[in-house]
Amino acid sequence: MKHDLQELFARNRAYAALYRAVLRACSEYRSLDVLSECIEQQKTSASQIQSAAAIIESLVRNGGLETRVLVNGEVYNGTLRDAQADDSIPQDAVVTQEYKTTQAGVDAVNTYNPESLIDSLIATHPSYELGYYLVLEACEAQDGVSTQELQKILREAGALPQDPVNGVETVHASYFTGALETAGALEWRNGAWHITEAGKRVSR
Amino acid sequence: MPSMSRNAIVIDLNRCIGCYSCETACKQENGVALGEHWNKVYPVGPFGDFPHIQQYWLPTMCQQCENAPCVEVCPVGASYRDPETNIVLINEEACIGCLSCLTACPYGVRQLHAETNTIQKCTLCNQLTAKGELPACVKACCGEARFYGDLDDPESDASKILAQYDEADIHRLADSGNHPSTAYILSPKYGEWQSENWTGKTE
Amino acid sequence: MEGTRISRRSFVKAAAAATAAVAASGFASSLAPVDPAKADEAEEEQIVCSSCRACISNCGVLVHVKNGRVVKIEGDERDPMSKGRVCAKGLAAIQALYNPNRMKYPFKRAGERGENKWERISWKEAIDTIADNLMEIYEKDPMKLVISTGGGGNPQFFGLHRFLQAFGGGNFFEPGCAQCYLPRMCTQPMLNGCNDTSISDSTVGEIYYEDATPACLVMWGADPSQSHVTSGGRAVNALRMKGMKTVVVDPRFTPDAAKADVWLPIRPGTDVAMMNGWIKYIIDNDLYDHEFVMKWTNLPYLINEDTMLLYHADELGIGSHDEYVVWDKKTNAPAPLPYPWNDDLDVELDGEFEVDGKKSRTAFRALVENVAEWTLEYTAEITWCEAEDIKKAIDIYVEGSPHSGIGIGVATDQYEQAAQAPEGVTIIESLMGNYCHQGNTIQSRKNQSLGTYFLFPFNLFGPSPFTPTEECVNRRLGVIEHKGLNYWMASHIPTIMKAVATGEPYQPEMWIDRSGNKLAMVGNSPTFLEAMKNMKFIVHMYMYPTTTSVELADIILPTAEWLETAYGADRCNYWFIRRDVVHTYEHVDETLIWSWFVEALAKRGHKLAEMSFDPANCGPAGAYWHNYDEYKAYLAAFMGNSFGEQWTWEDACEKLPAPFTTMQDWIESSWDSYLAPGEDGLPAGFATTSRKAEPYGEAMTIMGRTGGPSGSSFWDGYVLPPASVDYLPLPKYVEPAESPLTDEAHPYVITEGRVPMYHHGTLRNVPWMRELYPVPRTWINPETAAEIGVEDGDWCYIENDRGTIQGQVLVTKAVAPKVIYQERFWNPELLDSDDPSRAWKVMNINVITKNDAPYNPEYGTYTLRGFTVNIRKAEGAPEGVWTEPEQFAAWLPEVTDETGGGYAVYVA
Repeated sequence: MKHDLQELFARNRAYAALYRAVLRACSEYRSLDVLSECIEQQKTSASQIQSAAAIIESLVRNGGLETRVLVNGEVYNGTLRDAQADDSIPQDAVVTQEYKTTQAGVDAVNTYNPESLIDSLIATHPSYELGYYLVLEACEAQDGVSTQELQKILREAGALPQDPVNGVETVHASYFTGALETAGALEWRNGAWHITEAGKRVSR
Repeated sequence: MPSMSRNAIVIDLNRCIGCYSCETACKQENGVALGEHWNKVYPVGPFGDFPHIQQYWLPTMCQQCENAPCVEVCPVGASYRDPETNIVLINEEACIGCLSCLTACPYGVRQLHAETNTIQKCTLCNQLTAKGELPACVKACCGEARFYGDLDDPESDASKILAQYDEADIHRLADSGNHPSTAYILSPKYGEWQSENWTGKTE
Repeated sequence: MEGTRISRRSFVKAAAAATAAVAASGFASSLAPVDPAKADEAEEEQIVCSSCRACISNCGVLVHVKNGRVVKIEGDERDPMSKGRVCAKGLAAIQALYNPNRMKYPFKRAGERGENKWERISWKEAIDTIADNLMEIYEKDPMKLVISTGGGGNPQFFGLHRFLQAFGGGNFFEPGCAQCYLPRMCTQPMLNGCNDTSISDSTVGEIYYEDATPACLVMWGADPSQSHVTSGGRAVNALRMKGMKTVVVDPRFTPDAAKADVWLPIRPGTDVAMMNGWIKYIIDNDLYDHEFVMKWTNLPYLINEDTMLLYHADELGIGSHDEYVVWDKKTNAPAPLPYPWNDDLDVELDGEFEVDGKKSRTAFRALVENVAEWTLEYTAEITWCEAEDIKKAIDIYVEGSPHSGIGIGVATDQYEQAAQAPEGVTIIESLMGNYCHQGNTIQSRKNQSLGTYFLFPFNLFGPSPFTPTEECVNRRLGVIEHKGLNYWMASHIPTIMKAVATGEPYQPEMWIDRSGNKLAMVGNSPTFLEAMKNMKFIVHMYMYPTTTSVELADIILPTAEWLETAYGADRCNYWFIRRDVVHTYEHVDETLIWSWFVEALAKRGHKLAEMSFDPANCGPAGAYWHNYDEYKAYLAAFMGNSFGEQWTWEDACEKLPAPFTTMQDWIESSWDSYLAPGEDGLPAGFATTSRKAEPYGEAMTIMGRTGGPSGSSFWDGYVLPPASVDYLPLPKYVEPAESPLTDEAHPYVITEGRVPMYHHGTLRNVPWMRELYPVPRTWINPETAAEIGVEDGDWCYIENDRGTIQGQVLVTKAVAPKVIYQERFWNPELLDSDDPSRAWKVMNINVITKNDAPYNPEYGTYTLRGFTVNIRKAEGAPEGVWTEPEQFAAWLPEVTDETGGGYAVYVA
């Protein structure tokens, strides 16, 4: 299997935000318990069904995290497997694994720039520009906004392109929410679309 | 009093559609092992000039020879003719796996069962016919092409299907004195009989 | 020497005593391993009447059950279609049921997609997780849900549409659909007002009637001996032996072709050319049934050439709207034609006139002009057949008319002319009057079920609270362009892929697949995989892991084999029942899984889902079920209706199989039914807009502009925006986009087709079936083989710009030079390797099938047959592929005990 962080993020769209959150949290070595808590707090979608351990393992496998083993709080020179096979370690020793972001992981997080993603999205789809800004603005509402409401707003503003032959709308509000969510400008929270910090900065 | 019946299967190749149901039904009924066959279907052709070609399917199994060379050659009598039904059978408990019968059978339709090193072959499903049922392959056949019964009884299914055809349409595999009972029906419309010298043995 | 009769059971005893290795050998392959001590005990064997579901044929079977285990399958002689026979696939059922690779429990993916790492979860966790996701999607935008099924693995087809209606949106797709059955199933009844003429889908009932033999059956791209072995194959065979003449139009020399009076080895993709040739020959030689054509088809009617639609009398101010317009030779003017006829008129069938100041042809004249170039010689040239054989075939068919019939198979559903082929067949049959007479395939009798299914979506019977909204129907991906998809409430696969990949017109996010192996079955499957990887959450439900599970799924759910399911099958005048004789591990009938999703949604406050459990809201489709017993009650009640009785499931088990009418009444009720007086005292006619047969297919044109033949969409009655191109009322031949005539890099044209031991993607992991056909054979004509430099048994590469696969060469005259045949295949044994994707890549023709434009306009069909390839010799088989019988021993049954299934561990 190809091991590449950007591939990992692209192929696991449900988890991209969680992967990044973990990578940001591991500037120092962190334990599984700490990371599990962090992950649970960051989960925003029912599609994020994997356990913290599985998410962390994916990052390890794809070179975003490095690990070390601690035996009774002391750094152990070897892997978890080595420790398990090591007879010199007493049976009641406390063995844990900790995770730290690698340079590749740091780079992956640093190159993630939602504002530029959003800018790029808008720049490459000029015919949808009005729609993007209308959606971003509407999603600044305190309680967020539903897809149906966005569809109404877009339609009334004439921001939905139409097929010249039969007049059928060629994109729906769910195009805009999907594209903006992927770019990091929106998030789905408490049953509504909300603008993110990055989204706010672009929207201005 | 030994039986004089001549139980056999007659296959109407005009009807056989090459579906392999008979092979599979035999496997289920008799627990035939993977890689082994008591009944095996071979496509014959297509032959002729495209597009006016012909093809038929030839299901093969023990031909129930009247002078069965496998019975003659068996040193321990494991290959024997059942006195009640007159069917050629194998007593696997007696079989010593010498393979003489494999050589003697002109058609190669006997099977060495790898697990026990004994010989197996089509039994005409005697465990079913004893209860008045038909052999599994005959029951399953989707072409309705297989007929079982006593060739000497004009009322048997086997005899009745033969009676519907001209002699010229009734064929048997090569007979070098062993007199195979199994008959194949094939009319020119559905194919020119090519299986005179068919054998399942690989040289 | 004592001649002991050695019985199978005592041999087990003997052998087990002799060696301990019996079970491993495969001897006891479909029996429970017998403890020698018990071998002599009288164990009671139960025989349960049921209906097989190894394929869509549903043949009646007798299932032998002993000690809670299935030990034998046989046919049920009472079945009027299969008559007690059973095919290889049905006989494989026990090996499928106890396959060691069954998905026993629900699983959640632990590693990344493609790694094949799983953790077991409870049914409760699985249903809750899925329901949470469904709620989230529903709140975001229900159209972002995609669900799919497939033909393999005993699907409950309309159960998915039912689910989407309780869910309130979503897209449905199926790899068949526009590429399998839908084109015929929709087009034929729209034009002939009766039925589709599929043998394998059991809509041709005439062939099972033993009291009368059809004069001639044309199998057009159909091979019942391989596709409907036990029922259609058997019945056609029996009729052949009784003297029915047959013509087979098929690139492959199938068993039906071998036994036909004429085989036309048609070039794949040229069926419409052949049909137009038949039409021209029939018309030019004045062979058509004048009376039927004139009085019972729309061919005499005058066309408004501006709209391509037939004139109604009110448009010309000469009559009422429900009268069409004909040319009356007596008055030399257009005249209104009241239904059914006016004897005072002398109608001109074939002409071009001036009407309303412009040119207007009769539909018959338009037909004549449509086929003008299709002489026998030209037809022969394009179709790669011999003109004399084409003539011979038509003559046989014509001679047998009006007691002839054409059965059309899936082949023509699988490429760009999927609508045009059933149009062509309808024209031919209309010309010859082969409608509702003895021996015809076109009959008005209806089956008790719809395409063998009797579980329905809520909207099938009229307006319902669950009727999809107009917005929902309009937003189904690809349906505005390909209106025919709405007949199955389906979306267009390439349009779904584009939406998932680009987000336009909206971003689908969740996918539930109830099916086998999408990557083996969908056209150009590598592109499908790439697109679907963008889905955020994927659920796969099936009996055993496939590449869909390994490559794509986040949660996998274990579904039941047919021996573990309850259902029924109407077989001509009989109902047969399917009995769930065992339940193993935590398997669940997929029908229940969908209802558990709905129940979980209801618990989460989803209003429509809540309503779907209340019978008052649900009409004849019935309410949803909490458990299997409630479902069985629905099944029994439906079947009991045919007998005018109210049945519990226990009643149904006791009474079925049973006839609800006589075969004679069932068959003969259709004969001359169009002449019998209807409620208005006039002849009943046909179920079309004009009440005549409509070989001039303006119904297609209207469908393209509005959504259905009556001017609005199927089932729900919305007027949809028009497609970007008009659907034409008559079939024009279009050369395949990839053609051997012009493609120099890929000079061969390839097609597919059934073998009798497999059904779609199923049974490749069943030892007895793999042993029969371990690898796909690449059929190559001897001339072409010599040209390529391959011999029988060689391995080859089959390639085009989309990819490369392998097959094992069979040099055979059963295909024409330059025509290649290979059936779909995938290799379950490769799933456990380092690269599980090889399981669907190495020998799978759907790596190289074509899923881009041009599509069939009406249904959006892409191209699975009749595209171009090149072939070269390969060194050998792909590495790791199993070819030898002993290798399949790994899949021999692990017989297991009754557990109650998943129903025992989950309560909805």
